[in-house]
Amino acid sequence: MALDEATLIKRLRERDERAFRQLVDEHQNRVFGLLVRMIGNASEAEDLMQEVFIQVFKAIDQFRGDAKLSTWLYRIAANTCKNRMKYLNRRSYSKTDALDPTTEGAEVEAGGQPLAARVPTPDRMLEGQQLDAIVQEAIATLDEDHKLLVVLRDMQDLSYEEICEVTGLNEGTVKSRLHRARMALKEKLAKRGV
Amino acid sequence: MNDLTHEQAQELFSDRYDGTLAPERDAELAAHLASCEPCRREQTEFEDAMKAVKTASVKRPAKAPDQKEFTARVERTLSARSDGRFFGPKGIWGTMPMAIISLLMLAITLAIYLIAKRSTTGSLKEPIQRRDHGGEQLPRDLRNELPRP
Repeated sequence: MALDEATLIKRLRERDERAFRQLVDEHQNRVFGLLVRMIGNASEAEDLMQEVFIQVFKAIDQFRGDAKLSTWLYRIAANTCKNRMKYLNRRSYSKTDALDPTTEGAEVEAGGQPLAARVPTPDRMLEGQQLDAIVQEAIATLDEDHKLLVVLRDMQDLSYEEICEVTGLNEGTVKSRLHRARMALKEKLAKRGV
Repeated sequence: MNDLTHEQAQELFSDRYDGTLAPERDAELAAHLASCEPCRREQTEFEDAMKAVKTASVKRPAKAPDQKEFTARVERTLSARSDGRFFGPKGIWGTMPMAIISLLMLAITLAIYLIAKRSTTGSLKEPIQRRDHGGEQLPRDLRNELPRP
């Protein structure tokens, strides 16, 4: 039986292995969604996700409990992701990952020739996938802070309150930055014909 | 009422999209859009972009790891990094719930007590007699063997 959040946190603090297993099972899809959309590479996102959960296991005593556990988890994921992106940028990391564009919800391959040229089919379903890939590609080219806000709000569906807790920004700043991010995204998508 | 600049009007797109725009501001924006073709185009592009993002967001990201496999992988890593302190192989005491262990211990103690009680040679059957050197309880012949000062 799944533990409620208060019990889960208590057990996590006791380093209960079953509680940790529940945490990983419950949150891995959403954490992976955030990481893969931020970093644009599935295997890199998976490695990063492992580090996030290990960090959670180690640092659970630092969780004050004034936010939801999932929000705290997102905060760790966002920070871990930012650090990794800085590291990868220094190493001139390429976001291309050979993610299969024909699978459902395929991620984008950033860079290279236009996606329209790389995914050649008039089929409606594939057009939908093409659109997803274009969106991903456009998001990938946003700058880091903008990308995080768009992913958290428009893809992961977090409330403004949760985003403030994840980013440590106040609501006014989140709103104005998100608006700029959305306008930048609109420009990029308009250029790609969306 | 209709005195928003293009910039001011476009600043309201996000709030309108989120549904957090106050009704009077919404009316101002609507009035501006009704008379401004470039802002109307911007607004359409904005809505289209948000719709595309929303569509992309509902799909599960490709190549998401298998849930059970991933959980096992994290546990293996934690076990390795903690030298088996966490998520390592456990003996019977580590895998059995504390309540069962306590019951088991209680049953063993009870069994030992009952066996000792039934035993004819057991020390629980008769009280231990004090054997006091120099006391009256010592047998007479043994008292004689005691060294005299």
